[in-house]
Amino acid sequence: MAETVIKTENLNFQYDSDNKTKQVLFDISLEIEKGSFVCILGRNGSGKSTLAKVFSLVNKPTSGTLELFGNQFDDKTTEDQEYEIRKKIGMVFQNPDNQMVATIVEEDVAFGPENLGLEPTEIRRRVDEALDIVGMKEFSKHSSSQLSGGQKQRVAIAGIIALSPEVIIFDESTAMLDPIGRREVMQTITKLAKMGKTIILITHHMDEAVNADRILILSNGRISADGTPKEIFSNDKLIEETGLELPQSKKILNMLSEKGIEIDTNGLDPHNAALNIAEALKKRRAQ
Amino acid sequence: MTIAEFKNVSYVYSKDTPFEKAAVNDVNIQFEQGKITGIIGHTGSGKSTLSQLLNGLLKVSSGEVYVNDKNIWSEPKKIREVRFKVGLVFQYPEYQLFDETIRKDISFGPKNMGLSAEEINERVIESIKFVGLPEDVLDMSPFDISGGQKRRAAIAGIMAMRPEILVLDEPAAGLDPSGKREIFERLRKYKDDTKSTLIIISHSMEDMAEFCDNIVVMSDSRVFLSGSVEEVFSHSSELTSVGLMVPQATQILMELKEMGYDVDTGAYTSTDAVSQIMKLFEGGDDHA
Amino acid sequence: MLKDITLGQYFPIDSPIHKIDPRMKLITAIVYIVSVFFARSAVAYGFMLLTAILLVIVSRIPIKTILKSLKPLIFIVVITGIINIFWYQPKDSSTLLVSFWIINIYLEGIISAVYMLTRIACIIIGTSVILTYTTSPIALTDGLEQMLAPLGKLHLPVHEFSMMMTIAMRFIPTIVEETDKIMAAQKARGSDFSTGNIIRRIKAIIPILIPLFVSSFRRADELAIAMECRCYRGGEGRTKMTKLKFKYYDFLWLVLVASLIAVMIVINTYLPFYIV
Repeated sequence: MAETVIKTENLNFQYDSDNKTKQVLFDISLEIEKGSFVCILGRNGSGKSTLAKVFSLVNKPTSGTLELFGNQFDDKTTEDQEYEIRKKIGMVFQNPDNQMVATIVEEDVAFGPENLGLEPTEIRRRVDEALDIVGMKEFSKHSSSQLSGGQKQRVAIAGIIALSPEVIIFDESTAMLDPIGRREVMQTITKLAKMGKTIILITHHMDEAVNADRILILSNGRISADGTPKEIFSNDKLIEETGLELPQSKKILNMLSEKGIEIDTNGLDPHNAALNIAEALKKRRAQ
Repeated sequence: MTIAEFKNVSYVYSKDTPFEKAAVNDVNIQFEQGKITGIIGHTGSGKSTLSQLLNGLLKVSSGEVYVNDKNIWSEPKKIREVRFKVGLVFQYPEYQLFDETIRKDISFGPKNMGLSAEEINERVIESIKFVGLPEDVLDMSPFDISGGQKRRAAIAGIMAMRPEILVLDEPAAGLDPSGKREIFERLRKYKDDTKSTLIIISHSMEDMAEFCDNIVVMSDSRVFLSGSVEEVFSHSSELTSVGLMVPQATQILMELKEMGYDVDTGAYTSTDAVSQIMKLFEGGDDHA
Repeated sequence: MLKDITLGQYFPIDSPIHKIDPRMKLITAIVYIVSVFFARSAVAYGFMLLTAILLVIVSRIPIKTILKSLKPLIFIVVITGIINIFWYQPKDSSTLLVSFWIINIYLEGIISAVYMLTRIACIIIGTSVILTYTTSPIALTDGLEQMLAPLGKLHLPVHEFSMMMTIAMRFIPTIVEETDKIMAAQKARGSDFSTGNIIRRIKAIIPILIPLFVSSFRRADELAIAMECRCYRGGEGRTKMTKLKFKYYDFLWLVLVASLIAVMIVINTYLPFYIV
């Protein structure tokens, strides 16, 4: 079995502000394997982002255990240990504008490695490599205000890659982008997954979830489902209850099946759906 | 009936500087009264500029904009009245809330119109019903309610001006699927109840295909295609040629067609696609 | 439109001046200003004006842009000119040109006004060509940070200061754009910023300022978290990808600019025409 990078047991989290406390996460128990591509779905306010921030140590769990890379994280964890863990977990946020520190693309990407105190030549190497991976090398001297949303977000991703973390969390990183930007960012994420990085993707777009190895659904701060995209999207009732929707391709296959067509309904994107339909047509005609 | 019209409209940004750029180039569009028109295009295609030209926030560089058969720039001093007639909800409108309470914030527009206190109150109540906010949020601060509620309050703030045309720029951006569905349903009901006209700006083909009556596709500052949803989606291959993503339903049909099946790729909703595909299963022998 | 205000007016082209180390540019800008003040004779002023024009040519900044940047200063220039002409304190040797009522205009007054204008023009053109037009704001902060670095040893917050500058520079365009957006949105609700008395106008700004503050705080918050996630812990133990290094032509440039002072002294001594 593969190594576990993130493990929680009965983890709870609440926000304390002034005189109010608000519990956001309840009894979260999960394990995330190294190299897996996990997608977290759920309504606005279901606790997805809060959970992501627990993984990246921005939020400290109120109770329960949190284990990162085999190290238990609790009150006794020193600031230096925290820092070591932080190096291994990168996080890309929703608004690309609010995570870029420097104006010039390559200087922004260098920000992380500079914080690690690396040698200038090593920083240079990492920056070039990271920009190459996200396909933004030719923009290295551009200023951020000249970039499109998708390009900015790819620079933000490069800034994380340059820290060479093992886990990268995407907290609704495609939510503010147009379809082209979304496609660019998703291609980058898929590439990183193939390179063996552990990916945790939080999104509202079902078509992005389709590529994951595993989907977790959060509702009202609890894990309400955990399975492969095929398993999750064949549970219509669950999708309905958790306020999500099926990818249109899957919906069409389901509708065909309901009409009595003998068809494999496991096609989550247009290409696979079309293949399944063609297959079913061939079968029907052979009869 | 046409309620608003662009006639040969062009708009140039940063005129007379090295950064001069035509954001809208020789555009002709007619908006039908009581209909929902979707404006689709990439970022930078000029679609958002159109909305600001329609309510007079931006002044046309050339051409004319008509609302109710009146050129909106015929009396530049009265341009504020055009803004009350053409209500514009910007993208992420929740970031523009500023007053102490939701009630005061929604009243801001009507107050600027110079309406009486009773009239304002009536409109505030009416508009929060349209967006589905409970009355008890009215006296809460905009900073104490959830993001989704803020979005609705901001939309209500424009509805309270009772515009004849309501323009919304990406009203569902960042919402989850159920939140998105709800907002579109509420907008449709608002349109039916008030008999007003809706214009939605979006880059989601799938949402627009389901929600709109007419569609204008902008590409490179120009109108690329326009017409009823059926007409526009019957040009699915042209749409993909300018890099716009057609709904998955259409994509499936396009793939089937490429495989040699005889299907009409103009279908854009799940139901239409299914009936197209069912024809293949029922018809049988026309496969090449 | 607010967006049209370009910060620092940096012109991203390639020229010999663009290549100079930002620290050296800071130093030479000061040296250039000093040398302008050394000019006393007509020939010296003429020479300075010539160097300003040369700078423009070498920097390859369009003349039009330079003239445009001088435009807002016309008012100041005219006023200074007039003051210089009318308030000239005559010496015995002064030549009276016009005299009516209480106004006396001397030739020397006019000359000193012309000198003053030349000086202003040289300083503006010189500094903008050496610094603002040819140095990106980032290079400038970098230069400042490294020049001030020794002060860090005295426990002055040099790193914090430069980080602040970097972030400010990065966010100015974002916030300007946001202000535009919020203004448009409130105008769409009937806000009116251009009519009414002062109090009404100030009141009209509130619906812009509050959302702007709220969103800036939100941005600051998100940025802080993002920086923390990127392992930021202050300046200690931090390295830099690019360290500025002086090259030979940086020193050549310094010598060139510094020699202007010597040239001024020589001209003032040997060609002392119209010294006032």
